[in-house]
Amino acid sequence: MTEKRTPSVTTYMIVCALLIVLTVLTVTVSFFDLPGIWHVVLGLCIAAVKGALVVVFFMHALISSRVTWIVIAVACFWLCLLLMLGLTDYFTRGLVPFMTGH
Amino acid sequence: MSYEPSYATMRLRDELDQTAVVFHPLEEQYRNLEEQHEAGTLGMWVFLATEVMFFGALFLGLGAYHIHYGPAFEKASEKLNWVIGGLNTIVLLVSSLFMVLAVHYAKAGHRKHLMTFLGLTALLGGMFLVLKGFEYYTDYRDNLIPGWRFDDQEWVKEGLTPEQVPQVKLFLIFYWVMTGLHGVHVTVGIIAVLVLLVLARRGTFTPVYYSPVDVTALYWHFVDTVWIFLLPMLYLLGTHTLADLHIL
Amino acid sequence: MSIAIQPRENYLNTTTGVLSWLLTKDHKRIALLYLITVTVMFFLGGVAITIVRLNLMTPDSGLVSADTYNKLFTMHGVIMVFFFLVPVVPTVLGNFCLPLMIGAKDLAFPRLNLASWYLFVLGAVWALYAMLAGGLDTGWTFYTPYTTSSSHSNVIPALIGIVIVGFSSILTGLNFIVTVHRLRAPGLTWWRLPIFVWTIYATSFIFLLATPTVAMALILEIVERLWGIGIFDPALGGDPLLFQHLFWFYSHPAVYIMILPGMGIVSEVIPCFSRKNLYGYTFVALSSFGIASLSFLVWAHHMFVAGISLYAAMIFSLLSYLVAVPSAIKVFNWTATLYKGSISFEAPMLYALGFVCLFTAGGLTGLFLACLGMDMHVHDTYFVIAHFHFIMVGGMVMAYMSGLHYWWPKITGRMYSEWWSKLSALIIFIGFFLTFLPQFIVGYAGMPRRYNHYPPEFQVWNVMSSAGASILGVGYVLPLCYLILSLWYGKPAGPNPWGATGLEWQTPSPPPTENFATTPVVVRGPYEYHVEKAQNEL
Repeated sequence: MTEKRTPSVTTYMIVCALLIVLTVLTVTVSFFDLPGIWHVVLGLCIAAVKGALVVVFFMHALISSRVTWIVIAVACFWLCLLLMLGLTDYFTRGLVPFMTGH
Repeated sequence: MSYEPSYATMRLRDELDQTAVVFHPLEEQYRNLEEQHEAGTLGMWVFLATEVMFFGALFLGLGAYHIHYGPAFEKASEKLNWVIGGLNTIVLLVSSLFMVLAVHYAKAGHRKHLMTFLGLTALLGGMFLVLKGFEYYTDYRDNLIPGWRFDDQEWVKEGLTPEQVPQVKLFLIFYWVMTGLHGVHVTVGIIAVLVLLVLARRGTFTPVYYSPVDVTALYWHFVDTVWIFLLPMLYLLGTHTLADLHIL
Repeated sequence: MSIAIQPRENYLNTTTGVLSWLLTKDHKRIALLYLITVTVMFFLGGVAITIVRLNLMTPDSGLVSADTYNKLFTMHGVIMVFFFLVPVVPTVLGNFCLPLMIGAKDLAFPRLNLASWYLFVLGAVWALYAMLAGGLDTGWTFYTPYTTSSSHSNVIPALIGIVIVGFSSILTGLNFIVTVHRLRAPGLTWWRLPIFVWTIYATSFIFLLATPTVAMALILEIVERLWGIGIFDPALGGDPLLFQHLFWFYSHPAVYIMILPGMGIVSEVIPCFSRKNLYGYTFVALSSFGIASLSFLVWAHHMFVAGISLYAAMIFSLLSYLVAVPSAIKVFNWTATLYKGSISFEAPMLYALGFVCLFTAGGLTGLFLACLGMDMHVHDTYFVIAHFHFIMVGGMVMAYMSGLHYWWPKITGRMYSEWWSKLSALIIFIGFFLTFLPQFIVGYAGMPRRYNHYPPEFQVWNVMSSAGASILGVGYVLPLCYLILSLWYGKPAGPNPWGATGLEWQTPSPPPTENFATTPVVVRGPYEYHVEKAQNEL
């Protein structure tokens, strides 16, 4: 049985500060005049980092058992599965008009 | 039978084995409180995996429509109140900090700090809802509620074609459903934290028995995480200008 | 009640009164609550289809109006899928046996377990209200626009009911997963778990990951219907296929929710009545996970003709074939288990053999439907109906009956009539074939599903099918009678009437509330019949 140390109060503070910085960053990015797709990509990347910080530090995934990591991995994987396979259809439907009108 | 690594130290575990059964609510199907705590934590994680798929379905819908209706979605997204959206993100992040500190002090057996941080968490959660309510009011004022307050002509004046107006409505429906469901989750979280506060006041939690705090915290952080993804997917699709500040 | 006068204290007689049942935290009592609920639902769904089958005796729909016909087949589908097939084995047999099989005192969250049952009943009440007071005519798949703009029936209450039942399933699945992880008896490693536990675990996994999406899809339909705005309405920019994607992301894996626990039951019963170790235990255990995972990759094969992109259709067609691999692994292993076994034909074994036969037939016709070109031809015909009834009724209901007969002595402490139980297994098997085999033929010939009239040349097949359905009906009423009668007249079963090796047979029947007097320590695999046999011969 291994004892894993819980993060200190200082760690939590730093993580929270980092999260707020990233929030400001993601809002700032939305002021740059980029093609629409880049707003989504950058926004989601920053959100993924933020989400990971919350899960790893605040939700104590860092010091959790292997089972917890499996649950996290499965949830992420299945979300990807839903999005990827679902969007496969939408990305490749271009040959047929998507919205047939009234 | 192998045990998973746990939070409790050896000393705590000894203490737990000898005293826990007498003082703490150990359910009969568990061998000790630690096992009960781990079952609770795992249960919450598994539940959160379910929640991921629950919101995932909405993200699939939003994404699928975004692929085909990009310009209209960006235009609609620019009209949302990103100031309050961003501010609310920070409110939730700080509330998460307070929640994790509450767990920290629960584990340390520091009842006063535990109560303080639980109170602060609930307070910030409430503040989120108040800000959200105000944002909903500005949405109402700005005709952003399809089916109730919505003006097709405004959007045509913005440079959209009449065909794109239903697409704007589609985006706004997703905005309402997603933030609404998230709001429900926050409300449930606040109620749970307030219940914890009452229990903490009664002195229910000790360093060996604080699993309700731990489990509720997981839920709270998850709701925070959902919002982290809602922010870019709803508010930040388009390009903002400083002129948008008039939104307030 | 004669159970109550048994001298030994057990979970049935430890406390009495209605409240002691309605507020129980004991997984065994909750299983019985579920048993009663799903049995009622099963017969309600059966009544609906009886009228449908009677109506189909003549080509011109002599019995009920087209509207009523729509409501009846919807009622049959909704009740059977959401209130019988999906919950039945996990909540009845899983709830009862899972803690016993892993040597635990209860599930990880007993109160949550009871809450699941209340949610189930609440959902059932909503859905039954919708279907009985005014009716629901959308079909069990709730496709738009049937559910949104074109239906005037009770859609919203029905959808609410289904969403609530979905949450009940999620909580049940969560409970099972945590239980299997945390409450196994000492020595019970993962590779010593009975296959039934593996399959229930894999089923829970699907419950948790698939159910939320359908709940969300149905919630969006409720929003669309209430608000009158087009989330799924193409005229308003929406995409009806999005609903189908979300719906089948749940409902295809849900097919495996239904069949996986059945496979688990058969993997228990066949070794027991062949007196042999389960052949290829590891493969059978892992193939459960193979099925559970692959089930998520194939959903769009329900949508080949609905207008999804051809590229996506090809991918989903290829992936659909893959599910055949783990399913075939299971069938081969069951057959290999039977080989050179000392087989005895008790009622559970008869049902289990029926399962293997009908499931294989159903699975093979599934390959036809996975094939893109073939599916274009038979899509939405009676061929599809026959295919999934082979899996659901021939497979799943047979397996459930097998499990119910196998564990009935454990649940009640009484044996049922051997003769009647074997007879009913035979009747169900014959009735089933007569009902559904003609549907393959008539479907291949082009008879579409969900129509209340058909060309006269199809009548002979439809009459055969209806005749078979009446035999099937008798087959289902018989067990109801002799199982209930066994409560009063059955011989006491003793702890292990089948000479089985599972942990659940090491405690008295019916088990005491705490399941085991002392927590058992496990030192061997789940199906060591050969060891026992060798010891007996010595």
